[in-house]
Amino acid sequence: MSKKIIFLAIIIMFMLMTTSPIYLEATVGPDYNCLGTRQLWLREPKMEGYDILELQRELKALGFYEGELSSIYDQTTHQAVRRFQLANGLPATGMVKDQTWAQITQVASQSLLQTTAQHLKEPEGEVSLLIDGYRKEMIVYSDGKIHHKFPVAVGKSSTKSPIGEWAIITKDADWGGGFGDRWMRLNVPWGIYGIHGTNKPHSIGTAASHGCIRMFNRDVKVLYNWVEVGTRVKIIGNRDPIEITHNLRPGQTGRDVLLFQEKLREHGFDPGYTDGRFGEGTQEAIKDFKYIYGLEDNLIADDNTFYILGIK
Amino acid sequence: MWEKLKFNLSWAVIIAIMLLITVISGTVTLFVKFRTESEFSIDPTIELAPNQVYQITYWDYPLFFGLEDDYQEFLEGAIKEFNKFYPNIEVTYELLSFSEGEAKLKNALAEDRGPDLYHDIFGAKLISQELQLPVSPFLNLEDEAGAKELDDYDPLALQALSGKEEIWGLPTWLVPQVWVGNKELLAQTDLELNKVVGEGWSWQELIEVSQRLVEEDKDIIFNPHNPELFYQLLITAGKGEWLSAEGELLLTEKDLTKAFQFLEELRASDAFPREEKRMNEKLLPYFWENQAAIIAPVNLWLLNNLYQRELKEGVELTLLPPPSPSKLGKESVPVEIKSLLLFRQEEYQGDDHTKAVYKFAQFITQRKNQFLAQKLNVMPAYLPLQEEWSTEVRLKEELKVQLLDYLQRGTSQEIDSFIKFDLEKGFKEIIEQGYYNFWFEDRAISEIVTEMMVAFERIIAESEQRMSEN
Repeated sequence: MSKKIIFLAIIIMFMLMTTSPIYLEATVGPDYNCLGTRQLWLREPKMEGYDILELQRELKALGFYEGELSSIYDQTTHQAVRRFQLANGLPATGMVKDQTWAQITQVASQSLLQTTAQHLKEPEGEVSLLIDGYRKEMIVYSDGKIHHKFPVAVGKSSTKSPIGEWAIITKDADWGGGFGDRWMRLNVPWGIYGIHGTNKPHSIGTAASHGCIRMFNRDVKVLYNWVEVGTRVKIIGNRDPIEITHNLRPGQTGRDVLLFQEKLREHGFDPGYTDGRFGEGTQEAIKDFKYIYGLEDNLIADDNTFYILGIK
Repeated sequence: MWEKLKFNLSWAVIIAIMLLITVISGTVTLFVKFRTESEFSIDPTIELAPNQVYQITYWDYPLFFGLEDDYQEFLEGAIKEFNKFYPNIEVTYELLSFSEGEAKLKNALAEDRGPDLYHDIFGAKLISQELQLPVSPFLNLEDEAGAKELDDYDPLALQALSGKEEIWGLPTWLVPQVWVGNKELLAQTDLELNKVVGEGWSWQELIEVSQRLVEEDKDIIFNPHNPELFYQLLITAGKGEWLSAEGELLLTEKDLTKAFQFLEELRASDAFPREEKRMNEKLLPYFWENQAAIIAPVNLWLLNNLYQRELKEGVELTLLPPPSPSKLGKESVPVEIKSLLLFRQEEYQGDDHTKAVYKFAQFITQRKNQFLAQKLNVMPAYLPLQEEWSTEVRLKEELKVQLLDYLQRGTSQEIDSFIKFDLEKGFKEIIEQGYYNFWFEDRAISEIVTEMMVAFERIIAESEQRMSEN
């Protein structure tokens, strides 16, 4: 008998755990990581990809590459890499690893006319960021007033930056590596996205990243000192269509929740930040919504809700 | 003689005299206080002091949800415009949450930090016996030509706000209670739609329509979570008033049984979707997918959403009056009234302050209401605006004609007294529970109704006991 009770208790605890919002949040793993990288070299079949395009663009800007921006790691690209490595005292392997990327960053940064960001005055008010994916720029606000603008690179069309209202959740000053300086992660629930420096400075001003926000290394160091964990970051720009295929409930996260939040706001209800999380603010908004339209008094966004909001 | 009197005064007499004085003075004090309270009156002729700044607070709701305009902007513009006429009346506003606004108001009034003016969009009408102020002194004030402002407001709206010789709010809009039909699907049932719109229809006619809809595999959807539908059925059955002036229960077991039986008949004829308990989830999907021919209840806000969506969905709407048990002629249509309610603070700030509040309420209902009423597709209660509304409102002609027709046949109930109104609020909770039990608890109608009647009687008895104790 007692075994049965223990068994039942375990089952109930398991059910409670697996349906609790905290558990759901923790187990909904990011489906995307904007920091993916690989080593590049000449091989058959030839390597292709956006990273190679960026490599070619950087080497071209530095005068080492004269071919087409083909995104293919061919003989011309291989030779250009070797020339760059020789010129910079690196082993001329023709293989691009972190060390080569870091050197490209350094040389490219020196050759670029950049803002003298390190001399900028620190914002005195509450800082918030707007990343304009259309203009490829970041606007830093201090107490709602424009303090400074930085050029950025945003996600390319196949890996767009996450549109929404986020917050910085971690800061890492020693992150560096082959990507550039500093790392400020955003609380995007469906992937690892953040703001960081870059070893591809010529990509700044373009849609080039895997969804992260790239900045010049010099700029990102300045920004790093201006923001804190919790600083709000709004990203606007193009995004892929989102479809809602099921009812939405408190605790859920995702792009569909984000769309729902945006539609609530468009209709005059305040879900708080449009951050893809069906949290307290969204619950308040759906409560008000259902009350005023005379619908069932619960917090579930169902078909009636979607019809009223014009999502269906 | 004085000496003799002085000598004869015993301590007992002195104490008796002192006690008498205490009793008399206490009685006089109580009388004066009672007289002041019971004869609280407002002098509507009082002038605003030109050099005094009147600070008034206004609580409203963000009404333009789902619309392009920003209500906050509208309100700030209105206040600015008002200040051109009354620069010494400072209006501070607050926009409330729809779901929590009424509770917030009640709590605030209980703690003596309520607003001066409240936009009663939910039709609560009477909120605080102690602090709510009547607007009738201002409405009844005659101008030099002998005209009263009262005559400028729709009588139906005034009636709904009248009780004990006072009018308890300045009416803003009239909203006929309608059901929404899919015109094309209803046409397949041979229903004479024009007749229904023009004269009303009976419960039996609706049952017949539902049977024809079943043949076509189409549905009717009633939201089982919204008891407004049941109230509408009671009103069309002539049972809009649940208590007599003497406090006797007017609602009978028979009335409730009849209304539930009507719903039961619809249920038995398979008028509702198969998953009846969850039919509310299909309310809009089925309507827009041409599966539901009638949906109800539909409040003003949902109706506006349907108007907007009609343009892109290609489903033609028609507005239906809630049916009556038996059609005897032109059937009346229940009409809801929205209004602005005035409140005082426990420490009365004076008639001039009240007049300043009234002036702002008047400005909203008369000067700004046309824009609001057109935007929200509701008839303004201020009569001089009604004709313009009829020509300017951006509604499909057919729907507009239907609304106007229903307003002409509109009916509303007087609110009588605060006590009665409070009791009826208690009744509503009981009806809500009964309505829920009908749809979700699979219980016999007789059982549900008996339970409701017992609860009504209990509330009345409790109220009587409270009154006798006081």
